[in-house]
Amino acid sequence: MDQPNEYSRRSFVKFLAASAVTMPWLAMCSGTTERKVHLSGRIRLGIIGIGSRGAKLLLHLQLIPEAEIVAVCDDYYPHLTNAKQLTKGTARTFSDYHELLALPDLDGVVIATPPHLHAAMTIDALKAGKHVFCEKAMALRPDDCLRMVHAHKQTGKNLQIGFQRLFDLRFIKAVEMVRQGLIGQVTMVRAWWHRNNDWRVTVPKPELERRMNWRLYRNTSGGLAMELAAHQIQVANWLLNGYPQSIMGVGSINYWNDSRDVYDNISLILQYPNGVQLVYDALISNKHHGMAQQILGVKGTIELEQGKWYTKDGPPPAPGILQLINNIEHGIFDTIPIGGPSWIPEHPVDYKGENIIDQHPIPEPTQLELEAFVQSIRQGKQIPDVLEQAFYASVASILANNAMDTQQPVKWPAECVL
Amino acid sequence: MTTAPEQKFPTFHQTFPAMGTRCDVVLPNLHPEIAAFIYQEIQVDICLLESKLSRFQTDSPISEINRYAHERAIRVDLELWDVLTTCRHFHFITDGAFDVTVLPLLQKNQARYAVEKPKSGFHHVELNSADMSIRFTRPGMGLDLGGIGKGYALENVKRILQTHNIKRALISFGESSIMAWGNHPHGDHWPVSIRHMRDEKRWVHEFEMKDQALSTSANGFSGNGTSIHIFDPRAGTPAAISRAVSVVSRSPLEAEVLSTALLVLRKDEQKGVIRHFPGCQIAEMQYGENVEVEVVTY
Repeated sequence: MDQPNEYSRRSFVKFLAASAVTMPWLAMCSGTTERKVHLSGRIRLGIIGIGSRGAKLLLHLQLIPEAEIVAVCDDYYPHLTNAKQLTKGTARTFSDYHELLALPDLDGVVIATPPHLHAAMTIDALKAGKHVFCEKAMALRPDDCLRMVHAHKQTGKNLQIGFQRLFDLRFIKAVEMVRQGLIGQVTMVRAWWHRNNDWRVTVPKPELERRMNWRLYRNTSGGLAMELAAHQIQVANWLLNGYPQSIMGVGSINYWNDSRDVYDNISLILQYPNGVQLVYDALISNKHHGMAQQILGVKGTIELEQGKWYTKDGPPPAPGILQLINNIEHGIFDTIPIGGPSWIPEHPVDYKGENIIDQHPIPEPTQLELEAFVQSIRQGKQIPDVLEQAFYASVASILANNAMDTQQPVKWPAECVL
Repeated sequence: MTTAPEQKFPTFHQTFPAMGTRCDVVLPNLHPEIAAFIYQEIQVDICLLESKLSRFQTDSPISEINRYAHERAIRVDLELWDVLTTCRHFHFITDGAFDVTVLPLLQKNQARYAVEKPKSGFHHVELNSADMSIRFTRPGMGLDLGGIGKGYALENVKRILQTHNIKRALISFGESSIMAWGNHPHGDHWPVSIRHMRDEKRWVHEFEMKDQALSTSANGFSGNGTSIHIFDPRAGTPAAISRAVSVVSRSPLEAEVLSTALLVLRKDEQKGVIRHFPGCQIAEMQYGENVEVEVVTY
C-alpha cells in the first residue's frame, strides 16, 4: 500500500532499530507497511466499539497490509453501519461482543468502548483466545487493571493498551536524551492540557445521553485525569523510570456546571522517588496555553510538545575559553587559541533552542502502535514493557481521582506493583 | 610563564547570545558579586545596542531605515547617529572599502551582483546633522551593520570596564572580535592566537595583547559563517577569497573596520589606508587549497 510519507518512514524504522535496546517495544515496529503479504497470511481482527476513536483505529488498521478487519461490533446501530461502510461491507457485524469473540478464526480484537467496559471485555477476549489491543483508559479501578494483567498472564495472549506516546518519535528521542544525561538530573516535570469546549457530543435522543456522553459521568469515565492526564503521567513515569509514590490533587466543576459529575478542571502533584514531582493541570474552559510537557533538568529543558530542547545558558562557550579559565585557575600562562571568523549559531537572531528531531512530519504514533500490535500477534510475543507502562499510568490516574475526591494525598498501594 | 599573583577569587565566566553569535565574558579574580554586576551591565548594554543595530529584528531602527529611508528621512537617536557618522568616517578613510550599504549584495546570488551594485555605496546615503536623520538617495538600498556592530559594542564594554576600574578581562564576541583588557593574571599581556581556518587544532599567529582589541575577517571558506559574505562595495563583487586578516588595535572599532577593509583592498591600495590607523598590528593569512597558509605581518 502506498504510504504518504515513505522517506521519513524508512528513516524512522532505522531510528527504531537504534533505540530498541533501551525501549524494547520498538523492535516490534519493523515497518510492516513495506512488506508484501499474502492475503491468506493476514492477521484477522475484530473491532469492538466503533465510535469516533474506534473508527479512527479502523482506518489506521486498514493501512496495514498484514491486518484484515473481519468483524465489527457496536450496540449503537448508526456506529455499526458506519463501520461496515468503512470496511466496504467486508466485515461481519455484531451487536453483542460475545458473538464476535466466538468467531473461531479471529486472531485479535481491538477494543474502543467506554472505559467502564474495558476490563470485562478484555478479560473475556483473552479467555476466548484472542490477543487484545484495548484503548486507554485501561479501567476505572485498580483491581480491574490488575485483573486484566492477570488474565493476560494466565492466557498467554498479548495485551496492549493504547498509550501511543510510547511510539511517538519526539518522545522516544527525548527519553533517550534524558537517559544520556543531556539535560542533567531531572528535578521536575510540568505538564498541562487545556481545552475550551464542553466535551459533549450531540445526542439524537435524550435517553442516549448517558451512553453517548459517557465521558461526563463517573460511573463510565475517569474524567480529565484518565482521559487526558493519563497520557502525560505515562510520559512522566517513562522519563523518571518508575511510578509516583503518592499523589495529591484538587478538582472541581467551575464552569460546565450541567448534569455532569466529572471535574471540568483538575490540579495534581505526583511525587516520584528522589523528591521529583510531576506538576499537572487540565481544564476545558480555556485553551490559550494548549498542551505541554516540560522536563526540567539541571543542565537543560525539554519542551516535548513543542519539539524543542534548551541548554541551560544558551550557546556553548567558545572553544579555548574553558581551557583559558582552567589555565588561569592553575597558574598557567599559555596562548588562547580562540581568534577566528565569527561563530554563527544555528538560529542567527537569538537562542530559540534546538529541535529534538529534525524529521517532519513524524510517523503517526497511533499507526505505529497498531502495527506493533499486529506484529506482536504475528510473532506470538507480548510486546515488552508496554503493558507495564500502561498499567502504572492507568493506576496513577485512578489514584489521582481518589486524591481529588477525598482531598487527601493517596499513597501508591503495595498490591499495585507488577 | 611568570610568577602567578595570588588568585583571591575564582575566574568568572558567562556566555550569552547576542548579535547573531555568542559573547564570552571572562573576569578573573573579581569578587563574584562584582563580577556578576559587571557581566550584567555588559549584557544589558550589548542587548540594547543590538536592538538598535540589528536588521534581523523587525522593529529595530535599522529595520525601519531599511524599509523607509528611500521614501522619507528617518530620524535616529544620538547613539545610532554616532554609529552612522562613524560608518561615514570609515567609508571615507578606507577609500570606500568599508561600506555598510552592501546589504543588497549580501542578499542576492552571484547572477544579481551587477544589478544590485547601483543600490550600494555610502555616497548614496544622506546624513542630515540638523535633525539627525538619514535618507537613501536610491531605491532598494539597505544597511548591514554586521561589520561594525561588534566593534562598537566592544567600545561600550571598554567604557564599562574603565568606569568600574576593572584591571583585567577577556571578552570574546563570536571569536572574531576579542577585547583583551589589562593583562592575563599570570603574565604581563594576554597571548591570543588565531586559529587555522582549515584545521581547528592548529593556530597560525599569536598576538601579545594588552588593553587592545583583535578583529578577524575571513572570506570564502566553506563552513560555519565563513563563506562569501564580504564584498568589495566599489566593484560589487566578493572580496578576496581563502584569505583572512587579523588586526589588533587599541580601538575595537578600528580593528573591526580595518580587518574588513584589508580583505577588500588591493595590495597597492592597502598602504595608503593603513596610515590612517596608526599603531595597528596586522596579520594577513593567505590559504592554499589545503592546510598550507602564508602569514604576513606588518
